[in-house]
Amino acid sequence: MALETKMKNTSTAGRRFLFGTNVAVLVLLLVFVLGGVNLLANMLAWRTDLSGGLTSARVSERTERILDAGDKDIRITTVYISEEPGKERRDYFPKLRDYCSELAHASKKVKVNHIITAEERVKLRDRIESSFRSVADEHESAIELARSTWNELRQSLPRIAQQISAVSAMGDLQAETSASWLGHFTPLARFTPRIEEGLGNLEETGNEVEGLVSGEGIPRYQEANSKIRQSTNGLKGDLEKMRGWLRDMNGLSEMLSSPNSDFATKSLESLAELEKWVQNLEQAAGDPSQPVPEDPKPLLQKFASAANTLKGWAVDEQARMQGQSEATPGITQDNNWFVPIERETIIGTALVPTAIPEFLALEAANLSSWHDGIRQNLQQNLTPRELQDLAERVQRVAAAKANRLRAYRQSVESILRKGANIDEASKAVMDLAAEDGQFDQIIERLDAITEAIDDLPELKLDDLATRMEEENLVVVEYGDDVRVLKFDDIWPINEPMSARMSRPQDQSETVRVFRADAAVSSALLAMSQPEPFATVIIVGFEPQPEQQMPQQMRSSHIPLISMNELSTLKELLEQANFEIKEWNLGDDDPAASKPEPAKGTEAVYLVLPPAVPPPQNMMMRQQGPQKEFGETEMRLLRDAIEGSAGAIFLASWEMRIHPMMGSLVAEYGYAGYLRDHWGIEVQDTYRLLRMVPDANDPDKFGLDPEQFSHLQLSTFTEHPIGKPLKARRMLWGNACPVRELKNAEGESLAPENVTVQPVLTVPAGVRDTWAETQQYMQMLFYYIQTGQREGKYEKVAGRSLEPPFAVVLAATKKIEPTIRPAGEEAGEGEADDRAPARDHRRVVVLGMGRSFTDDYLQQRVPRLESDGKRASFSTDPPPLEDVELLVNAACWIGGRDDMIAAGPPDIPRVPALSKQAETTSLVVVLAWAVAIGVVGGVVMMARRK
Amino acid sequence: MSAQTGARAVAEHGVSTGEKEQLQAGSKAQPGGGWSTATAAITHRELSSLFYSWIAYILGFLFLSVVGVLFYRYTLVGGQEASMQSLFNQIAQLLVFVLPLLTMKAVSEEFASGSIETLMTAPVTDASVVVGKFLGVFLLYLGLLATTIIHVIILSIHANPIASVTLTGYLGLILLGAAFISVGVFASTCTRHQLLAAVIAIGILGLFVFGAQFGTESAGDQWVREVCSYVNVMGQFSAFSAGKLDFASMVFFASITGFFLFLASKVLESRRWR
Repeated sequence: MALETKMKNTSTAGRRFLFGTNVAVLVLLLVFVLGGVNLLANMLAWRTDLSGGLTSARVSERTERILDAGDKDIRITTVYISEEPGKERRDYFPKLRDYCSELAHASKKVKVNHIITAEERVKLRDRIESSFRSVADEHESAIELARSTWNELRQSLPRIAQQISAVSAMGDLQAETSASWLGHFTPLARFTPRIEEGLGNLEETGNEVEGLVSGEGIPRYQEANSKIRQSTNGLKGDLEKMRGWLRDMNGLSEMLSSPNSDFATKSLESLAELEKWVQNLEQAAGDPSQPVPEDPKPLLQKFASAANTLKGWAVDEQARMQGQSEATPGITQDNNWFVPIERETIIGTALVPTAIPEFLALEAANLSSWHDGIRQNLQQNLTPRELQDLAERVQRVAAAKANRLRAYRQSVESILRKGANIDEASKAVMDLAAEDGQFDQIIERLDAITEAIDDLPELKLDDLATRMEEENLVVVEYGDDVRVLKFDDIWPINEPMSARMSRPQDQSETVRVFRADAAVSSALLAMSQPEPFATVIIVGFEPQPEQQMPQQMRSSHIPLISMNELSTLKELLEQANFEIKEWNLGDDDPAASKPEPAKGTEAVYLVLPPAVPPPQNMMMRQQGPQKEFGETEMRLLRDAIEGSAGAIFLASWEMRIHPMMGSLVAEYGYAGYLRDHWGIEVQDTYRLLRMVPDANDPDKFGLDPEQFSHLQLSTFTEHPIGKPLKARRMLWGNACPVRELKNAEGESLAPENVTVQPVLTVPAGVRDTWAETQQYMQMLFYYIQTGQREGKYEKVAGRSLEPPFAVVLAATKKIEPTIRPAGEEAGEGEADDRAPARDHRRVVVLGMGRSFTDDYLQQRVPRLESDGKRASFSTDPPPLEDVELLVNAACWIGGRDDMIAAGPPDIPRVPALSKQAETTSLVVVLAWAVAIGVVGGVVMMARRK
Repeated sequence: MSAQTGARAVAEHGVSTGEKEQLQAGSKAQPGGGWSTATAAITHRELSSLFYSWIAYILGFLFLSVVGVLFYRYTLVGGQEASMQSLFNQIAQLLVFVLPLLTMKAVSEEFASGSIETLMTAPVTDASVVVGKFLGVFLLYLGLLATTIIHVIILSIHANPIASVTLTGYLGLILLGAAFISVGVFASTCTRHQLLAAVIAIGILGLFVFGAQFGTESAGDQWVREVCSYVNVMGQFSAFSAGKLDFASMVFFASITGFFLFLASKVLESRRWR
């Protein structure tokens, strides 16, 4: 019995084990199979985008093209860790994560990594640094050279400073016989502090450099080397000045210590002569202790003569000393170079040390005036008393002059005496500055540092380091190249300044838009296509007012599209990898100012309508003739286009007659050229309008203010320029039609080798869109303003330009290859930087040129909403998509058809809702929930019954 | 047994005698199609049970109220992207709590009422029972989802949402709902207590949604983040809500659904040999 029970128990446990194991194995097997299937599905990465590109996290067609065109692996690393208000990860990261996921799905070359931890950031930093390793190594060795040189200087310079300091200390500035000759020169006393200061700077810079290259972030080698260069140059400059001064002093010492030197011998001779003339003066003036003779005229005559002789000496001596001071400037720093003389100062008469040349010049002038004064007095009939007074004054002056000139003699003798006995310590200091002396060696070492830094290649790490300091960033790596996108690049502020200023204070959050696609594609383009696609040369005709004319008479030309109003367009073209240059045909010498395309690229001219001269002001009849766009400018541009890939002509509806100024312009400036060479006519007297048809009368239309300023038109043809932009929000302002010239039979009048194709059209059958002349537009506004005809415009057949018509035309001209003649190849070893040969030239004429100005591209688009009772006003983002058309046109002309695509789209957004609409919506959704509850209640009750 | 009494029996005690006969008949009459007939019968029974239970309506009311407020607060806002994407993502998170409440009684009630024994003696496989229960809840879920069309209509009145994004979003919600329901059914097979079943299901789903989300964003190791990112249900769902048909995500949701239904059937089967 007991055995039976045991058997049974064992059997139950065994069965459980058996089944359990079976289930566990099955589960494991299923996990394995499902894991495999999921892995396979991920590897296959089948994904279809059904959003039509209209979600913000989508990878644009242009970015896809760029990804396809690149041949290296792309690594996207996000670091979004900020908790700062307005930049929080939880708000801004999810969309970026979705976009990165889309990027990874768009191309297998893309690897995405989202990092958070400090360790991961360090690894990222190391990886980025390693991609710049070779250049960074060169920077590091320059820093190392500076380190080692500075270390040596820290040993040698203090010794030099000590030596100079000892000499300086021995020199008593006031003493006649100092222990050190050099020491009594004032500048020497400043050397030691300067050297110490220089060493201090090196120490400080060394610490800063360590901080820059050994800190937590990416080493800032470039900034470190810049600091090193600054400090090194500072010290070098000081040492060079010291060396120069010491060399001067050495020359001076050689001159003074030699008794046979020119200066010494001439000085001694001159001083002997001085003594003679001074005594002569004293004798002429007579003994001042004796009474003045009754007839002082002979005395005065002798004094005047002696003064004149002494003046002559003073003039010669002044010239000699002046020459000496220029030859050996060091001598001027000797204390004895200054002679104290009594001079009038703001605090009264004082003894003022005066440099020898100046002293001598003053004395010569003074003696001369005494000579001349006495002569004049003697010629006048002065009384004997007056003559005696004059003689007494002369005696006093003679004594004073003798004293001063003897003081001068002592000064010069002192200079000579000191210079004859130069001490060894001074000589040793001066030897430091000798050829190949210590100063030379140090300066040479410092030069080596600055030369090494100057030769360094550019390193982008510093910019990356600055960008990497941000908490929210995206690192885009293409092969070994790196770009760091900051938070503002991915999430730029999209709020007009006026809105920002009027934002309530409690609403601190800034309105940002997600533009990761534009930022990433731009970064990828910059790395994958280092050479620009083409050089877009913006051509305008904007003569500057004559500067010679009076201010009130100067008047500028009136540009329809100014070259200065295209900053947004330029920025977006640059982002699309075009080089931008400008050419003003209104310059004084436009042929000379014509820019050349960037190396290896072709020019694509972006031609703006020429500015028109201002109308003659009736009040200023003297106004000079105005420079006008003419054949010279046209010929220049025509030749330029002939030598390029082609041109984009921006035309626009133009007001022909100004209500105040009268007739402005007869015709679009390039009308003739486009007609004759391309068979295209710009109908810029017409303006495109989209109106609101009247519900009762199909021939009457009302004005739609939104469409008047921003005409939505994206009916692009199959032409490659516009095809990717179909069904996109494309808003145009002041657009005019352009047409291909045709004869009555409908045959093209374009030259034989030219093919014209429409790009954007208003198709036939569209009733609410047509083109109107200024005259009838004025009529329309008149009706609106006066309320006549209910403010409606009546369409009269034959008066308006009815669809179909084009707004953008593209033309291709077959040509003989001229840019690179057939068979001409780059020579061996010659850099092939010429543009490729082509057998065609292209132009695109856009009738909506004014849609590319800053005014248009920077302003948000107004939106009026009405729920039937109330209207509300809101704004949509600026129409930046418009530039896509121009980018595509430039790509098409520049032969980069592979880059023609649509950029990031504009996302449809919910308009501003009225309070009533919001409330109704809320009530409806909640009532719907209640209705479900009520149905439940009914069912429950029915069931109970 | 009258039809009325039978229905009450179904509601209160699970499988009625008549149904058992129906199951047996289906099993005998259609050797090939017996499985599907039995499954259809169980599905029908489960759906009826839910349809006649107060919890479905209360949940429906609460679900739509919350969705309505979310729609008003976050989707129907001037300047926001005109799409249901954000609402779909919020609904997906809401389903973590809603669907377990619908599935909690699927099997556990059979255990509690004892009707599981009757069901087990009927000639139906465990898989049929599990799939039948699953489909019953799933159909109700589809009905619940259909009620959210009103939000699409309101949004379309005021803006121009992209229809394809809305459709893929709904497809995503259907796949996600299937996965969540399978987890709920599995939890329901684990216990006789309905509330505990709901807690277990919410726990598992919470791991897949919030745990994985947290792991994706906060885990220290890269590989942990990658694993979390892959099993993150919301991450997989985001492709659908953004208008993409992602084969890998479809496979993921199908795998989750299949795996938990398999586990549920094995748990049910274990009653035979435990």
